[in-house]
Amino acid sequence: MKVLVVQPELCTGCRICEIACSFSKTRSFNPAESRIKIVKIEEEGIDFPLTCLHCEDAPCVENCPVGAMWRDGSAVVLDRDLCLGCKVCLMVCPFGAITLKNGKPIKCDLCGGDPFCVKVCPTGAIIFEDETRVRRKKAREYIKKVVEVV
Amino acid sequence: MVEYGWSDRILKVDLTEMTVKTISTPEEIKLQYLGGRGGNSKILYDMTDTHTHPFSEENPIIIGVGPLVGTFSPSSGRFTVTTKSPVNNMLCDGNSGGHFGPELKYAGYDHVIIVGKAKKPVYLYIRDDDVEIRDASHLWGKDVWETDKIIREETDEDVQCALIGPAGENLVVTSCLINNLTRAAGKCGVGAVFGSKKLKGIAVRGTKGVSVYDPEKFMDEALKTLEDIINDPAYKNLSKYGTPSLMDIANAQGWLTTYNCQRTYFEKIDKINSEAFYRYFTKTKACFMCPIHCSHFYVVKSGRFATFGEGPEYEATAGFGSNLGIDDPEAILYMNTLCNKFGLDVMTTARAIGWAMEAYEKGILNKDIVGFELKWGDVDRVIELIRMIAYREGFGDVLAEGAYAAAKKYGGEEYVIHTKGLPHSMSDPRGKKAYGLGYAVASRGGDHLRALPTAEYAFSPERAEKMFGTREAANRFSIKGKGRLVAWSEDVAAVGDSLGICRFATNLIYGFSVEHMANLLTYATGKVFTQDDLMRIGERIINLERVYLVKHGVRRKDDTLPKRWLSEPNPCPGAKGQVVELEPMLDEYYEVRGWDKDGVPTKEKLKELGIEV
Repeated sequence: MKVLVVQPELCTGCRICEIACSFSKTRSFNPAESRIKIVKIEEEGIDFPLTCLHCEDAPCVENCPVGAMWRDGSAVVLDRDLCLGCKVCLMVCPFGAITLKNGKPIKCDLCGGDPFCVKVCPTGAIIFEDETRVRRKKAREYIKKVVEVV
Repeated sequence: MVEYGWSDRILKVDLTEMTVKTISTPEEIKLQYLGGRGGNSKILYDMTDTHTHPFSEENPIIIGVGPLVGTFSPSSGRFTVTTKSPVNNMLCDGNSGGHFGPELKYAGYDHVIIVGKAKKPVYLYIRDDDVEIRDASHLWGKDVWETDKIIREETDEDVQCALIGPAGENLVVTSCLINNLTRAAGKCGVGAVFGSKKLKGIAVRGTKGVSVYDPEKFMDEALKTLEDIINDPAYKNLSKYGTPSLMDIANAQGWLTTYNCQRTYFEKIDKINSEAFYRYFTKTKACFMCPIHCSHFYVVKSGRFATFGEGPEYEATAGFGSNLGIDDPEAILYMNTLCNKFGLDVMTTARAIGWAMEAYEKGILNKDIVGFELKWGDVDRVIELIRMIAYREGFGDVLAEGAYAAAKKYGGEEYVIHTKGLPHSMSDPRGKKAYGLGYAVASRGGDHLRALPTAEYAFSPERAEKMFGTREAANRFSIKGKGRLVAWSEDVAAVGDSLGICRFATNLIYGFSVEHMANLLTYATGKVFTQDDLMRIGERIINLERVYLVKHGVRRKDDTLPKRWLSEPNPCPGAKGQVVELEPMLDEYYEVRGWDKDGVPTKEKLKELGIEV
C-alpha cells in the first residue's frame, strides 16, 4: 500500500505544496484553503509539512458521531455534507492536522491517489510511495550514516 | 465583481489623523506600471516633489505587491517598499522576499500608502478588511526578533510581520525593514522613515487568496516556468550554496571587495568561501513559492560567536569578511544575525565600517575621533561598531548617517565606495564592466540590483550578438554593447520587481524569461500582454524613475563611480590592470535609452512612453 511520508529535513518552507493544494481543490491560490500546511518555527529554523497522515486506526474516523469520515484505500476521507461541524476530529487528531473552513474541516484526500503536492515539491520533502520502498529508502539512509560514523 | 491578478484595492493610512481607508487601484497603475515597484514609483512620483523631506509627514511609505504575488508563479513572494530616501533625498526602495508580500496580497491589497506621523509608537495590524493602528509603546526599543514574537502572541500565530529594530527607531540611515526575522527590504534607509513616523511595523494576516482569469493555462505556464528555472545551468550551485558561492568566483575573477576595494583578492579566501560557511548550515531555506531555495538556516553551536540565523548572503560574507579583512566565518555569521536583530542593512553598514577602517589607516580618523583604534580584521571592534551604529552611541552616531555623510564631516570622500551617496555592493566592477555602468545609472544610487547584468558572463557570444549587437557584450572586460545590455537588464528587472518576481529567477538564473512573465500575466489578468508590452512597461518605469531623479538635479556628472574604480588599475589577479571606462559606456547607454548627452530623457521619449513631466 502507498503511504504519505513527510521529510521535514528536506523542506525549504517555500509553500509550493500549499499553493498547489489550494489550486487542486479550489482552482484559486489560497493557503487558507490548503490541506497541507508548512508549520514554521522561524526562530528555531524549522519548516514542517503538516497534513493528514491517514492513520490506520484514525481517531477522527473512530470518533466522528455521524460517520462523515471513513477510510478509502490509502486515504482517510470526509463527506462535508454529512459533517455536523462538531469539531470532534479537531479535538482527537494527535497532530493538529485538521484545518477548519467555515466551521467544518477541510482535509487531504490524497487527490484520489495522485497527490499534487508530491509532484510539485522541489526537494522531495513529501513522498507518496509503496510502504516497502519508503522503508528501504529510510533504512539505506540510516545505514549510510552509521557506516560513515564507523 | 471578481478581480483577477490584482486585488484592485489600495490601503491608505494616515498616522497623524489615525485614519485608514481604501481606494480602488487606478487603471494606470495596473496597466502602465503593473504594480509592485512600478506602481510604487508612480505613486511616489505623484505624491512627492523636490521639497518633500524624507522625515516629513508628507513623505509616504508605499508598499507594493505585484499581480503575480501569491499565485503559483515561481519565485513570486516579493514586495517593494518605496519612499523618499534619507540617504540622498531621492528615490528609495527596498525589495524583500519571505512570506510578508503574499500575505498582504491575500488580505486583498495591491499597495499600502502610509503618511503622517504617529504621536506615540504604533504598529499596523491588518486582518483582511479589518485594519487597526495599534499601540506599540511596549515594543519600542525592542529588537526585531523580540518584537516579532510579542506581536505573534498578541495577535495571531499566523501573521507575517515586517518590522524595524532599534536602528530604524534611531533614524539610522543604514537601517532597513525586516520581515520573517531575516529577510530585509534594505539599502536606502527605509527603516529610518518608519522610525520617523513612530511606526514599528506591519503585521498582516490574509485569507482571501488570489484568483486568476484562466487557471488551467496559468498553471501549465507556471509549471513550465518552474521546470525552466530548475533546468537552468546556474540553478545547481545557487540552490546548494546560495550567494556565498560567489566568494571563490569573485576572488578568482578579481571582483571581490577586499579592504574597502583597495584589493580584489583575499589571501585567506579558503576560510570564508562557500564551503567554509556550508559547515554551519542546518537546512536550505526558500522564500515563498521559490524552487531556488538559495538561503539557509545556520547555527554556530558554541564559543563566543554562538548564534542562529538565516543567510548569509554574499554581501555579508564579503562585506563583513574580505571587505574588513575578517577571516572568521563564525564572527561573520554573528554579525549577520546582529544586523537582522537591530534592523540594520548588512551591505551599507559594512560599507560604512569599511570606509572608517580605511580612513583610519590613512590617518583621517584617529583614536580621539573614534574612541578606540581601528584595524583591519579586528572582529571585536566591528561588533562594537555595529551596536554603536544601531544605538547611535559615540562614533556610531557619525556612521549612522552613512559613509558618505561621515566623509563630508571628516574628509576621505575618495574612500567612500558610493554613487549618489548610496554605497555599492561588494562586487568590484573593475572585474565586470557592465556592473560598473549599472552602478552608475541605477535609479536609487549605488546599486547592483537595478540591472544585475550577469548576462555579460552568463550569455554566449552568439546570444549576446543577437540581443545586444556584438559578441563583445559577453566579454566581462569589454565595454562594447554594455549600454544595450544594461538597458535590457534594467527593463527586465523593473518588470520582475513590478510583477513580484525575484531578481535571481530573471537576471541570474534566466529560466524565468520575459515570455513566461508575459504569458503568466495574460492568463492571470485576462488582459493580453506581449513580451514587447512588458519590455515597454519596464522602459516606462526606468524613465519615470529617471525623470524623478532629474527633477532632483541628477545629470551625467552624478552617473559616476568612485575614483578608485575609474582610475586605479585593479591590482589583483583575475582582472589585473583593469579600470572601468565609464564614459563611452554612458554614451551608448544614453543613446539606447533615448536620453540626451547629459542623461536627461528627451521629450520625444517621454511622449512615446506617456510620461507627463
